[in-house]
Amino acid sequence: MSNSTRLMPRLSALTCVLALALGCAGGVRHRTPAIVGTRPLVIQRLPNGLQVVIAPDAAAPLVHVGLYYKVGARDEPVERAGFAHLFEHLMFEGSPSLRAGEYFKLVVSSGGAVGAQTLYDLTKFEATVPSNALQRQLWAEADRMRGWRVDSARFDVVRNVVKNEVRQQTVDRPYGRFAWIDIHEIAQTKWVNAHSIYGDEPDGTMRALDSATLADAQRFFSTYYTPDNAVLVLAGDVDPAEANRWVRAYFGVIPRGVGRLAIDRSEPRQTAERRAERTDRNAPQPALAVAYHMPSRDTPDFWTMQVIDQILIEGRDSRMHRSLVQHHGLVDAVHGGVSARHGSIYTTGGPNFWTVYVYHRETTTADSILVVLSGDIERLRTELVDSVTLARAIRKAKADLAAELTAGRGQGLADMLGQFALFDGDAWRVESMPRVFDGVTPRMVRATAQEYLRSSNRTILTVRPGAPR
Amino acid sequence: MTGLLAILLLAAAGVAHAQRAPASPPPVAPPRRTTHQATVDVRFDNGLRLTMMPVRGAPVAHVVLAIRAGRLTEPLTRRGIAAVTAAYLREGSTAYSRESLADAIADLAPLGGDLSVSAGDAETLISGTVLPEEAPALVRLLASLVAEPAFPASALERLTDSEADRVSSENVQPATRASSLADSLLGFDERVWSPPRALALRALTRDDVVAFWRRAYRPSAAQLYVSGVYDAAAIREVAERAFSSWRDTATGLVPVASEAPDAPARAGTGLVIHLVDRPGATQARVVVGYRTVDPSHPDFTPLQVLHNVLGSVQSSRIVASVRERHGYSYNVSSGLLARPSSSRWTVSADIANAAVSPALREILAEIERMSRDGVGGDELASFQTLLVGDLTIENATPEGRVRTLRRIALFRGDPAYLDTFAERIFAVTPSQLQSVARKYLAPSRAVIVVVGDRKQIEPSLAALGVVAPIR
Repeated sequence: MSNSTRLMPRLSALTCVLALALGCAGGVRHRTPAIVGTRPLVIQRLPNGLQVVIAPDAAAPLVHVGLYYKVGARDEPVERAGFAHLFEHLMFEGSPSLRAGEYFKLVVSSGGAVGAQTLYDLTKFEATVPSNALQRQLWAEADRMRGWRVDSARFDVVRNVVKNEVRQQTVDRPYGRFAWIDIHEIAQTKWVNAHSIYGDEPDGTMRALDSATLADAQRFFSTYYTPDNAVLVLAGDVDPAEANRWVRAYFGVIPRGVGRLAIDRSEPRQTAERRAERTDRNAPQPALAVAYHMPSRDTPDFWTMQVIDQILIEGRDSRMHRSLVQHHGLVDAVHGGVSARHGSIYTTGGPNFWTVYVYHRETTTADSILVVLSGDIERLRTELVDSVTLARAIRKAKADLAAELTAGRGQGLADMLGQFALFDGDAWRVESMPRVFDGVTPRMVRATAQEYLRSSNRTILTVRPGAPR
Repeated sequence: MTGLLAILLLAAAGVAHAQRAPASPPPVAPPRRTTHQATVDVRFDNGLRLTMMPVRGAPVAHVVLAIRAGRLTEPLTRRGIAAVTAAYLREGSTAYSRESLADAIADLAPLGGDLSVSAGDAETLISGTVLPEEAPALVRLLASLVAEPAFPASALERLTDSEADRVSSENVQPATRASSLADSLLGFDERVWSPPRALALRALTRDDVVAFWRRAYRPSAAQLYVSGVYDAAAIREVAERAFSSWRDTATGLVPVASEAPDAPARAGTGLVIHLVDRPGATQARVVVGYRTVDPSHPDFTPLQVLHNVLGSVQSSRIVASVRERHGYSYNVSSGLLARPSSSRWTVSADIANAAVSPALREILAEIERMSRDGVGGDELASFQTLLVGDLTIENATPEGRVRTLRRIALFRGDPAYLDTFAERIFAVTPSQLQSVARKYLAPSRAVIVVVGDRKQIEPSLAALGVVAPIR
């Protein structure tokens, strides 16, 4: 280990130089958003490409630190399904100045809480810490971006932990793959989109995780865990000027990466309905999922689907709740949405689905549910939605947005800013979302439904309780 | 030891983007003092308590109506009645049909899309989070639901069927089965651990529901909480008016299950492992449980610290051993559950079949090490800081603030709890911690439950103790 006291003076000098240099680079925007309170956001991009967003809010002596990397299950090398998630765990195992376990001890001794999550298009690392520990937290996060080091013994231990997580989340869990992993596998044509995010096979084995090596991890880190592929968000009790000095001192020294690999993730337009059946030995009752390919995130149709989701399945006023639960009594509840069971419409950047799914009794057939469900869909495709229903749906979509933004103490806000920065290159875009929803018209709803809720664009998955055949 | 460390470091794979950065963490600054804005507490003529607490930050109001009506207040002959009555509230009131209620809720645009209605162990909670200007309307709506419910007879069968399905789905989960069995072996009231049977649920009548509502849904046994950002004068005025027709129709406090005698310590020192067979499972659910005390007891504070040192986060002893050092489990952790008359501390984990026995051995060894060797000052201080940080995080949101106050109300705690929390946590000494470990986590008080594939795991478990299969 290096002697820490010897290095501290070097840090001070380095900080000043970098702060001056980066300060000249300019590009810092201060903007006051209407939808998240009255705090001006500070948005900038460091010369090494790292996007930094600061959302000050001194209401509580806490700050949420979110680090979002544009890497997820879709970036995994072929034959390495589940690797992005495995690597999320490995990121806690060692960095230039922190050995295995030391990161956790550091955060605990600050009185903070830690989390991490891997999705299809992003991996996030987050910590909420008392604001007096922010500098130390930034140092630790930067240290983990600066370098990664793990020995083979630790690699194996972490692999075992991850395999236990996979058993718990999918293999041994009722409906573990239902409505998301199974749908991704059945409805998509490219391996990058269609493989399991957890790396489990339908038969419960985890061959890809078993084959993963230290060399894979080194390549993955070098390729994706770089400042120009990441967004840092600080939300909470932060002095922006002071935080900027620390961010530039700790993160500013990290060079750009070599660039992401170019992977074509686009899926062809689906032209025929797909159907599949799975058996689940842990499932207590049958289940049905119907998933439709989503429009691309960069089209207005994408956000119109969020309003359609509200009309059809969200809340007890929704059409499918009224038809399937109240009128026909076929099911007890209707579930689903965009990124069903793995996030929200805001957490996705690549091909995705709007999914509706239900659990039902043995005495109710999936076909009887499909008939009613399809009737609600066809009505939306053929009739213009009435103004009261649309206004209510838009209001609910905006309430959902508010729920995302206000979750936790700074966590939800950080996630939203990080996701918009990561997928759209502009954290500020979150501010425009209420206007986007307000702009949805009955004709937009019908046109979007006509193209994306056509039966040839859907995949129907049924689950039967019992041992696999 | 040094030699081994050197070898491991040499063998380590490393990738670095840059080398220029400080190698040791900067110091932590002194903490900023936390101040909680004053709570306003009002009791109306009908006995309903209104508690309002501002929480600065996001412009939302969180409204919760807590009624002393949960599993533990059900008559033993009417199991499931609390959940069915709670679900019945969504069927409308004299002011709302079922459909117009759904529309009214949608128009309030609650965050997350809906109100939440749930019956727990001791309370039924009806809650929602809305923009500040909608908070008075939400209060009015809650008043209508609980004070003048319609209880339409046509809904009963659907609601009891639905509850029967929910209970049956929940009980096939290994985590639920293990937890319920542990509660039963710990000697708790059967309403905590034994789910109502489908037949019993379907036998409930509308009269049963009305009788339960009259007995339990009373303003003197309820508390309305409003937290976050709101207009206090408007809330107070609306609440007083909207709930004024709600009157006590029974007297006396709603009885919550009485304290059961402490489960007798087992004779002998051998371990008994209660095993539930789950053929084909690749993992086993393990629960190690001990009876503890609720927050009104002076031992609760040292137990909170003990729980964190042993099992709340990755650097806690049991997690550091079972997960971080050995990789036996992903989700191993401990939980300190405060329930009226049935508080407990448990360690639970899902563990791959091959590792069940060594993982259980590690869990028990860490508990024993705590009783035998205690804890050092630095380790203790670190977890004391964590606990204070946790409470700061919890109380920084409107929802968390209500949870804290509800807990104080439920266990008749000190209203100054929040202001004295840090002081009391930091006052816990290493010897106090060791003393509560010896008192509550003695091997003779442990209950061990495993739900897993018996064929795969019984032989190795038998090497640890006596395996008692459960039908």
